[in-house]
Amino acid sequence: MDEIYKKLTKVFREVFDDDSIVLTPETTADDIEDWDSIEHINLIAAVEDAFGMRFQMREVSGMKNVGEMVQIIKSRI
Amino acid sequence: MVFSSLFFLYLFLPLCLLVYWLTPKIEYKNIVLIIFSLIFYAWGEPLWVLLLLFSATANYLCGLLIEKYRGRTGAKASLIVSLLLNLGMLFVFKYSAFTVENINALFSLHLPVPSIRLPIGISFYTFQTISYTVDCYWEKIHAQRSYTKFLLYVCMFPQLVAGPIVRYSSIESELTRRYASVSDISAGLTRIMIGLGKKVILSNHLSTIVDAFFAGDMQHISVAGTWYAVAVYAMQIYFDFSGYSDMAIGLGRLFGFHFDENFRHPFLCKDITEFWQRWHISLGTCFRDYLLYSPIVGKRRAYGGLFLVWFCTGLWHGASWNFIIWGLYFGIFICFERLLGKKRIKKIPVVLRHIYSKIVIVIGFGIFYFEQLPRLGLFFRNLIGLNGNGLIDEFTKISVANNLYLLIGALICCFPVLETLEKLAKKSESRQMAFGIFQTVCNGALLVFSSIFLVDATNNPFLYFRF
Amino acid sequence: MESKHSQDAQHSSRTGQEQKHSPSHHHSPRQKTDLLNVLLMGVLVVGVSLWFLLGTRPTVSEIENRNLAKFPEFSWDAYLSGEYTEGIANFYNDTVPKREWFKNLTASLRRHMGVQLEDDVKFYGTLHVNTDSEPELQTTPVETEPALTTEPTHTQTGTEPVTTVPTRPAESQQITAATTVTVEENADSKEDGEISNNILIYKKRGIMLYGGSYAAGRNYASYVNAYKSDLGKDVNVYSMVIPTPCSYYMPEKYQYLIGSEQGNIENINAHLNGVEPINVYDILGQHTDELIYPRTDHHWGAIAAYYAAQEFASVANVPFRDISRFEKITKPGYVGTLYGYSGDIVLKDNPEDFVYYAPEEDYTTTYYNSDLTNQRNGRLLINLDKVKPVSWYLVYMGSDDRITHIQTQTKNGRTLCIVKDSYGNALTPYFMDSFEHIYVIDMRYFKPNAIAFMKERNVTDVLFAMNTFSATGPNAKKIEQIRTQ
Repeated sequence: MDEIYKKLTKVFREVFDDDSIVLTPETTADDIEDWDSIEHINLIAAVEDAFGMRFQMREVSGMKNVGEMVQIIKSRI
Repeated sequence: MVFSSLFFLYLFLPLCLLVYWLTPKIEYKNIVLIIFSLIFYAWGEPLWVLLLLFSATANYLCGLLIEKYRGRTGAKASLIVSLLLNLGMLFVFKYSAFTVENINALFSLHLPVPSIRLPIGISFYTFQTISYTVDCYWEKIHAQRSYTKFLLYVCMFPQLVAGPIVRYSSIESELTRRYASVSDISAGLTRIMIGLGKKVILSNHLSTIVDAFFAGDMQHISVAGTWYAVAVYAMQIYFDFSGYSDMAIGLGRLFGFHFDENFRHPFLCKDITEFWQRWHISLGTCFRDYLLYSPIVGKRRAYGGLFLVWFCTGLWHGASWNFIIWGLYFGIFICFERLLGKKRIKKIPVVLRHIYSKIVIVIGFGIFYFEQLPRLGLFFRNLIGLNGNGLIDEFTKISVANNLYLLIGALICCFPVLETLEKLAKKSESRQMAFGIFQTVCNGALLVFSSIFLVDATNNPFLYFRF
Repeated sequence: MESKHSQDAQHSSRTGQEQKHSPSHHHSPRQKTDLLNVLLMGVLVVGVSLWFLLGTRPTVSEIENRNLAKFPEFSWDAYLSGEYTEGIANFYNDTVPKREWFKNLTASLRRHMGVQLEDDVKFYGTLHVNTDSEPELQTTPVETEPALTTEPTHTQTGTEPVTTVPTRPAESQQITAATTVTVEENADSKEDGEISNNILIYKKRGIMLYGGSYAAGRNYASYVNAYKSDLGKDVNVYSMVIPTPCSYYMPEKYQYLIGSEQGNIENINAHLNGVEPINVYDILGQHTDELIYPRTDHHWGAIAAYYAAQEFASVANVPFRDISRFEKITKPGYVGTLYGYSGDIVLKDNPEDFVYYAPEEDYTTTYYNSDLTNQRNGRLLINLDKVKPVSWYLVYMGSDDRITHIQTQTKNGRTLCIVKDSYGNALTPYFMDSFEHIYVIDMRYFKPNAIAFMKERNVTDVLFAMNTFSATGPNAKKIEQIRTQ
C-alpha cells in the first residue's frame, strides 16, 4: 500500500509540476491546484502508464478521492 | 406551449398547481404531474409525444435489464440497445438531413434530403435518458423500479423542453419524497419571475436590436455597429437561455424538486475555460462525464478528448456547420489556455483576461448567429472594417440612444446583483426584512411588466382592414 | 473527480427543507417575507387568471387593423399537425381583455427604453438597403416590341399596330433576373409591397424606408408596356409612380438608409415604351410645406393627390376642375396606420388632421364586387362618422376590394381606367371635369381580365397609379397577372 502511495505521489508531482504535493486517502481535486477535469486526463494516463493498468471509463469520472483511486490500482495490478 | 406566454402563465400553470397542491399523497401527485406534463408536451407535439413515451418506456426497461444482468453481458447489451435507441432517434430527427446534405456535397450525389421537423426538447430528454442508462451501467445509481417515477423523471415539464439536463441521481430521492414548503414556493416563484423578466423584458427587446442589424443585408453596417450588435446578441442569448433555465428551476421548486444551476453569470469569467464552467453547466458536465474520458484509439488523450467534446458541443446546438465551427472555436481557445498553463495565465493582469475572454465570447456568438457561411464571412469582414462602411454610422447611434436604458439594465443584469444584495442583507434582521419586501415588490413588477409585453407578442398588423 | 460544490449545494437545500418541518414559533424575517411573496404573487396570478378567463374578449384590433384570432375549429388533421392546440393558445393570447390598452401601454414603455437623439429619431425594423438601387453602368438592351416608338403618346401617334399576343422578347431573361431580386426583397415576409416594416420616426413623423430595385423597376415598366401593346394606338397608357415621404422629409445623414425613389422612378421611366410617365416627384417637391403626406399614416394627403391629378390632366390633355370648387373637410384626431405598424407612442400622442376634398354631387358612383357581380349604387366618399380614425383613408370608396365606376356630366368621349394600389384611391374625386367615365380597379383584387374589361368599356386612357413600394415591390406582379388571367 505504501509502495502505491509513494509511486502515486511521484506521478502527481510530475503531472502537476509541484514537489510539495502530499497524498492522503482523503485528497480530492479541490485540494490540488490545477487538478481540473482536463488535467485529470493527463493524470489518469500517467497513472495508467506508471502502474501498467487501465481504468474503466466509469471509474475515471467517478473517483471521489485518492483513496478510491488507490483501491482501484491495487485491484488491478 | 412556451413558458413565456400568457396561456402558460395564467391558464396552464395555475390549473396545474391547483390540482397538484390539492392532491394528497406523493404517488398521486406524481401522476398529476405526469398528466400535466404530457398535456404540456402534446400541446406542441400532438404526434411526437408518442416518441417521448416510447423513449421513456424503452429506457425504463433497459435500466431494469442493466440492473438485472449486472456483471454479465446482458447488462452491456442493454446499455448498447439504449444508446442506439437514444442516439438513433436523435440522429434521425435532428441530423439526418444535415448528414445527407453533406454526403451529397461530398460525393456529388443527389440523395433525397429528408425533411423532418425536430420534435421539441428531443436534444434534452435523450441526453437525460442516456445519462440515466450509463449511470445505471456504471453502478452510480440503481435502476428505478417504478414506471411512474421514471416517466416523471423523463417527461416532467419544467425541464423537458429547454433544460437544464437533469441527472437522475440529483433528483432520485425527490421522486419518492419531496415537499414544497412556503420558502420553496417563494423561492420558486422568485426564480420564475427572474427568468420571465430575462426572457420577455430583456431578451426579446435585445433581439429586436440584433435583427435590425443582422437580419438585413449586412452591407451597410459600420464596424462599431457590427461589434455592438453581436455583443447585444451575446446578451440576448444569455438572457433567453438562462431565463428559461431560471424558469425551469423555479417551476421545479414549486413541486419540490431541486435542480442544479445551469448558468453562473458566465460573463464574469476571466477566460474561456471558466466561461464553459459557467455556461450551460448541465451540458458541459454531461460531456465531461460521458465523453471527455473516452479512450480514443486505445489511449485517453487530452486533446483528442477535448476535440470530441467540443465538436459534440457545437453539434448539439444545431445541425449546421456554423455550430460545429462554434464548438471547435471554443475548443481551440481552451486548448490554447491549457498549453499556456494555469500558472502563466494567473500572471496576466485580470483586466486583460476579462477583455480577452469577452472578445472571444462575443465573436463566438457571431459564429453562432450566422448559419449561412457566406453571411458569416460578411460578418467577419464587417468586424474589421473590410466593407468600407466606416467606423461608426448614424444607424448605430440611433440604436444605442433609443435603447440606452435597456442596454444599461441588461449589462447590470449580467452581474450577480441579487446574490450580492442578499449577502449584504444577511447582516441584520431589518435588512433581511427590507430585502425580502424588495424582492416581493420586484417579483410583482416583473410579472406585471412581462405580462404587458406578452400581450404584444401576437403583434401582426395588417395593412388594410376590409369592412 | 466530483467537485464538492454540487454536493454542498444539494446538502444545504435539503437542510433548508428539513428546517421547515421543525415547529418554530419565532418566524424569521425570511419566513415572513416568503409568505408575503407567495401571497402577493398568488393574488396577482389568480386575479389575472380569472380576469382573462371571465373578461370579455375583443374581436378586432383597431391599432393593428385586423381581426383578432378566433377559437379554432377542431379536426383530426388540425390536431395532429399541432395547429389546433396552437390555435387555442393563440386565441387566448391574442384576444386578451383590454388588449388595446395593453398595446398602448407597451408602446409607452418602449419609448422609455432609451433616450431620443435630436429630432426625436427612432428606428423600427431591419436595416435593409437594397444594393440593386444603384443605377447600372450600362443599360441592358431594352427588349423591344420592334417598331414601337418611345415617343409619348397623346391621342394618336404613329405606333405600329400590335397583336394582342403579349410580346416581350428577352423578358424571360428579365423575369429570371427579377425573380432573384424580388426573392431578396421579400425576405421580410410581412411587407405588403405597399408598406415597409422599416419605419423611421423623425420629428413625430413616421417615414417608411424605401429600398427599391432597378431590376424590379424594369419589370414594372415591361408590365405596363404590355398594356400599351395590347390596347393599341388608340388608347393612351400612363404610369404614375408616386413617391413617399422618405424623399422629402429624411434628413441628409439618414439618406444612406434608403434607396432613391427619384432614381428608381427615373429608371422606370427610361424603360417605358409607348407609356407616358407622370412626374409627380417634382410636383410634390414644390409643395412640401403643405399637407402632402400625413405624419401618422402611410398614405398620401388629399392635396398631394390633387396636384398629381392636375399634372396628369395636363399630360392627358383633358380639362381639370380647380380645387376651389371642392368642399374641404377636416377631421381632427387622426392617428393612422403607422402607429400600429411601428408601435411608437409618439405617433399616437401626436394626432393630426385628416383632410379631404369633396367634389360637387354631379356624378354617380356604381360599385361592383371584384368579380363584377353585385352591382349597386353608392357614394364615392363614404360617411366617416362611424369609422375609426386609423381607417379614415377609406373615405375614398370604402374598400380596395371592389370595382368602381364613376359617371360624370363631362361629355368628351374620354374614359379613364385607373389601375391602382391604395394610393390611387385619393385621385378619384378630382376627374369630374376630365373624363366621362372613370373606372377604378385595384390590381391586388381585380378578378376579370383587365384588357377585356378595358376594351368592353371603350377605355381611352389607362392610368397606373401606385406608390414606389408597390411599383418596385411584390405587388407589381399583379399588374401582369390581371392582364393575362
